[in-house]
Amino acid sequence: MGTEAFVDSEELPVKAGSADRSGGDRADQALVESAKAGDAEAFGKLAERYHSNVYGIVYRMCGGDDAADLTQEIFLRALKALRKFQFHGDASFRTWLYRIAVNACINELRRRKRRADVEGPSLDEDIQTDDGSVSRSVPDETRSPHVLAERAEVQRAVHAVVAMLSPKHRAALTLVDLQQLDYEEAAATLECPLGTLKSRLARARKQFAEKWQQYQDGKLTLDGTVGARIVADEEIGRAR
Amino acid sequence: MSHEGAEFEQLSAFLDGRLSPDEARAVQERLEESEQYRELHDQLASARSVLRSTRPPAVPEGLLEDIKREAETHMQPSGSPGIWARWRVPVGAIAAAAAVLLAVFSPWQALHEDEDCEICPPTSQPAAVAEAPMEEPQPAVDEPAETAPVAVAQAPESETEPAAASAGETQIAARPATPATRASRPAATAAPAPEPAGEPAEPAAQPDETPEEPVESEPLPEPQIAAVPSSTGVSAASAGPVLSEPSQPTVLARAPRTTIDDEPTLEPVVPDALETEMATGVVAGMVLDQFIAEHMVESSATMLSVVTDTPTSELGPAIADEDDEAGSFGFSFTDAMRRALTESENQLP
Repeated sequence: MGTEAFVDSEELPVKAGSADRSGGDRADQALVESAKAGDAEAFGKLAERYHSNVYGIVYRMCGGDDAADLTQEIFLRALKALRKFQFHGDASFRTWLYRIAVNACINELRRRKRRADVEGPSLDEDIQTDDGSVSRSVPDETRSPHVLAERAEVQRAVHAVVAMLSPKHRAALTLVDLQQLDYEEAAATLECPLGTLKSRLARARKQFAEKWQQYQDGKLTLDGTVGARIVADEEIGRAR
Repeated sequence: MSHEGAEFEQLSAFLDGRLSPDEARAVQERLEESEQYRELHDQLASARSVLRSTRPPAVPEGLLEDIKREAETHMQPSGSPGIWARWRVPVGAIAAAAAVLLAVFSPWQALHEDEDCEICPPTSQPAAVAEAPMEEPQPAVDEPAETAPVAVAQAPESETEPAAASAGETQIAARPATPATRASRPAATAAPAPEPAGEPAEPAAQPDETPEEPVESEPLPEPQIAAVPSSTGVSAASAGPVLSEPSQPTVLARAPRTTIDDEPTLEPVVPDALETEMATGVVAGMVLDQFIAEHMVESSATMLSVVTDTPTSELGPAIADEDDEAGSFGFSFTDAMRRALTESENQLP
């Protein structure tokens, strides 16, 4: 994952204000109905609207290695399941699409966990002790916070730390803090009550804050997404 | 949830502005009172700020186009053309080749079927085709004699036949194929008795003697066609194939050639057209067959190149087989072609 993996502009994820969402939902509804009738162009417009956000969810939950392929697969799944989708109540195409994306990401993380179990631990993996994980790498003392802030590596570090969280916590953090969905839409995407989302989000932020503090203090070294992914996959196993 | 967890959840919701005014006021008061609570808040706020300050990842170039392309492929009405689209060209080519082969072999096969037919006249003698109605046994069956069995007509030279005929056997003798007028079937079927050898069956040829109402007779045995030499001296061998010998037990002998002056001549219009068509088909088949034989080897390499997305130069030319090799299509695949085909099949979803 290089620094070029992040946009330099002020482009931010689509915020889910209720007014914007209702207008977007109406536009989505027309496009969805056309796409269900076989209009490929309408589905293409839906993809134009949401492919960057879906890619962002995938990238932040699963890393950038297979994010493009997984994003494409998610849209294909959505296309195949589109005829089952109905607009009623609070259901929106965007929430439905994000749900497919999150579920696909969780499945991908589980698949990686199974593969890691077969292949064995990586030498980059932290050593697990009774007092927690200890990095195999020597901490980089040159990483002061202000230097890190100037680097795009901060972005990478953030995602590496997020990747250490359990899938459920990772999903809550990704949707609310990274994709900046509101609570209601995030809860609808994760198909959980609002209170559950608040609880998961609080725990996720707490875990992230602790690890981020360790990283800034030089007690946690991130050797790329691979090592972080394996640690997170162990948490997947405990969560199941 | 533990107390610490509850504190974190409340602080998290406070940072997002999701607490009620009373709850928010309570958090504010505690932040002013507790340094530890303030540290917890600062840690969480910092983490939240870091998370929300991250830029979205740059979407790879071409991802949207790939999504649209795949969607279009799956939304085509003919099921899963994404798989079959790559076979469309070769399938079309194969269909065209099949159509050509059908066009070539259908008239050819029809021609050979005609040659093998025991009843149909040989195509090399159009006159026989023209006289086909005279050689068909049906007229004698449809118009039986009054007394059966009866020798409907006796060939002039078949001197040994009267005994067989009188023994209740009926004959039809195929007249040698000569361009002539049509014989009178009613006269032939109405001949009451075998005529003396060497004399034409003149009475049998008289239409006046034909009974106006056909009389039912016993069903005749399976008729066979026998070539009987005519009085004009034309041998049976020269007249065409002998389908059954006159000496066979059940023979319907037709009267020797009898000319009725006032009966219209049968014009061989249809057989000429049929022959022309068949000859055209044969010639066209030979030309196309030669063309296919000459280009099949080259075309096969081109077709495989399209199917496997492999340049023709990597496949190499197909190997021409011997023409008379059993089961040969006229060419064989090279090893490179087989590998390309296998890889292409493996790439199919």
